[in-house]
Amino acid sequence: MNTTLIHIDNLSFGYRRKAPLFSQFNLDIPTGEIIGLLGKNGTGKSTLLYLICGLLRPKQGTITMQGTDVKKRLPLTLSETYLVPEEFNLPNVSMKQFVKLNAGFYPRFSQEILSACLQDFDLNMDIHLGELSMGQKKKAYLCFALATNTALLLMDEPTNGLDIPSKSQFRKAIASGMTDEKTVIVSTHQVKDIDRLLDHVVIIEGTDILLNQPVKAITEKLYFCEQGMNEPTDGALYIQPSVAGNSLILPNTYGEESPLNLEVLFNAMLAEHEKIQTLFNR
Amino acid sequence: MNFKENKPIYLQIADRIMDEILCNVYREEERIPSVREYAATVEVNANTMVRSYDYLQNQEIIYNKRGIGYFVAGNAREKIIALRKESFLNESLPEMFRQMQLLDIPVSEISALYQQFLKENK
Amino acid sequence: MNHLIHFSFSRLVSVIKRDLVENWKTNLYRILTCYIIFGLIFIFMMYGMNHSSGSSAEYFYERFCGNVTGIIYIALNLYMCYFASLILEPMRTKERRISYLMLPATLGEKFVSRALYVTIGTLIIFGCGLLMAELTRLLFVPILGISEEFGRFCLADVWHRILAENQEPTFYGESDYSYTLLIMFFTVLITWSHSLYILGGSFFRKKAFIKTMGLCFLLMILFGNFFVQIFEGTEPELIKWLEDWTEANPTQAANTFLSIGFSLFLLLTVLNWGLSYKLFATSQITERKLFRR
Repeated sequence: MNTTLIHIDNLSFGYRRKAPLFSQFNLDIPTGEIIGLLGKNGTGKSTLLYLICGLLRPKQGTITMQGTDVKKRLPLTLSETYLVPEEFNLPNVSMKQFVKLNAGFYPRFSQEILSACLQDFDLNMDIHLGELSMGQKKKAYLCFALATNTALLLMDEPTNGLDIPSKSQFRKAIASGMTDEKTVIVSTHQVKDIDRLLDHVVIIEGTDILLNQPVKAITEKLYFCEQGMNEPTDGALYIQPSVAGNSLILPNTYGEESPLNLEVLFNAMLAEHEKIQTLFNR
Repeated sequence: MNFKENKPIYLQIADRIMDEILCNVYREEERIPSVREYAATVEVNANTMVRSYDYLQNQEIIYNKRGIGYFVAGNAREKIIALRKESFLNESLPEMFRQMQLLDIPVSEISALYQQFLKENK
Repeated sequence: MNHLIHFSFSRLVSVIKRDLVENWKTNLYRILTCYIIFGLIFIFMMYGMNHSSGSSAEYFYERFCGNVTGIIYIALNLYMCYFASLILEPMRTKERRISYLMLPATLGEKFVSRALYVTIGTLIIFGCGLLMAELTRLLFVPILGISEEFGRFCLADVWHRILAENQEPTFYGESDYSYTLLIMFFTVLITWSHSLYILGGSFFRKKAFIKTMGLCFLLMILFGNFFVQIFEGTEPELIKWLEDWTEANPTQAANTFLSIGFSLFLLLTVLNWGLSYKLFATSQITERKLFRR
């Protein structure tokens, strides 16, 4: 059974007083799952990640990690949290030196995972962080992040800046590095890059949570399919034109399981979230 | 051959493993990769992978040796062929019949084409 | 589990090490800059003095030492204040802020590591640069054909000079004030002005040194005016009483004023450091807006 890792309670936050991004926001993040945090640009995905890390302080409400308030910025929570931000700087030292200086702060750091991950990305331990290209820097940083083995790993647009083979390597690294004690939150708007990896989907639009469901529940309640142009579309919850004709979301009346089409679901939730939400509330 | 491409991911992966067994990538009584290894190869969530393995176990195509891993069952080939035949007869064939009916194609035409196919593919 | 909540010396050492090694280039440049500036000053001054006519080499060396003493006083002051304003250098950009705040160490450990760097670290950088410059100067004595007098290790002579200048006077004059109290007062005055730059460095994220200096001047002008007005408005009786009392008990008065001054500025210094820590502990990764609530 899943326990809750992060409990967000009655959160209020905004960068400007007159424009609150979150207001009476509640969310529970379960342990041992890969969670996709989706939303349009500017709806507060990064802000939510920063709040969970304690980098921003809520105006009201609390965010706790297994009972400890994250805004206290204690090593207790920090040593179990790792954030891969969208933009970051790497110091001008070798990877070996970087590990020597930083790995000690993370009690469960694993050199094996780091070496394996670097290899997956066509890098190795002998690289110098100051001499890497942007894409390589991102890959090296991702490798270190996975190697820290923290209970919570947050990634903000991790596939931005990665070429297509690297995106594939990224998915492999996440798939093989996952355990039951880790929680990974991937915030992105490139849903196609990670849809097959997710256990849980959270779609937000600022303070509104449009969807917060495990993938299993989504494929139980909804049926995704592609139809040709001359096939009927009655009863469809959402229709989106596609190459073959139309992409549809229908209520899963016959209990048939279909592959989750995250892109269509995302668009559907932005357009018609109440209609689809009611299916989950039964 | 599958006409219905809308299978859930875990079944698509199960098909992939069955194809590999038929092609002798994994022979009978040979060990197949662990859940995590295979999940990494096809880049899917480990839970999805578990469902694939559970499905194959239920169909008695693979079995689990505790602490060691998953192995291809002794008569896996026959089981897979039987499963595929059942799927063809119960799913693909009715779909084909529906198309034949819609397009008004007589059985005799199909039969003739099939005879030609067999001649070309000895 | 306690070490994940409370201060830990081993983790403090790791934080310091990380800060120093990751920024090795910057630290190296700082030592080199100090070395080059002092080196050039020493060598050119020495060369200039050697080639002027008039008095003996001994006299010129004495003047050289005097100049160096003065330069060290001013330079050390500038260095300490400049580095004080760098106390939160790891928080300068958004990316660095994220990286530094996410480091699994307590806020106290991070602040102490920076405090140590801007105080002891600065002294080490300053000392190394100075020492290397002096050694280089000594190397140049035979090369440039400077007279032997200048071949002495001037820093040692400067040190003796400073000690001699600050000796307790044997003759006090009218009031027999406590020399210790005087030293304490001036020391705390220096630490207080240093702490102003610490506070400035914690408040301003960029160009903290110049902004703090500017602010200090501004406040000095404003408050200077303010105090003069208060003084003029105070009861003349009270002032008369103070004057009489000081004249009657010069020693006691001097010591009392020194003690009050000492306590006041000590308090202000602690206040500045405390505020500085508070600013650090409550900082967010977004830019600080003055009146945001």
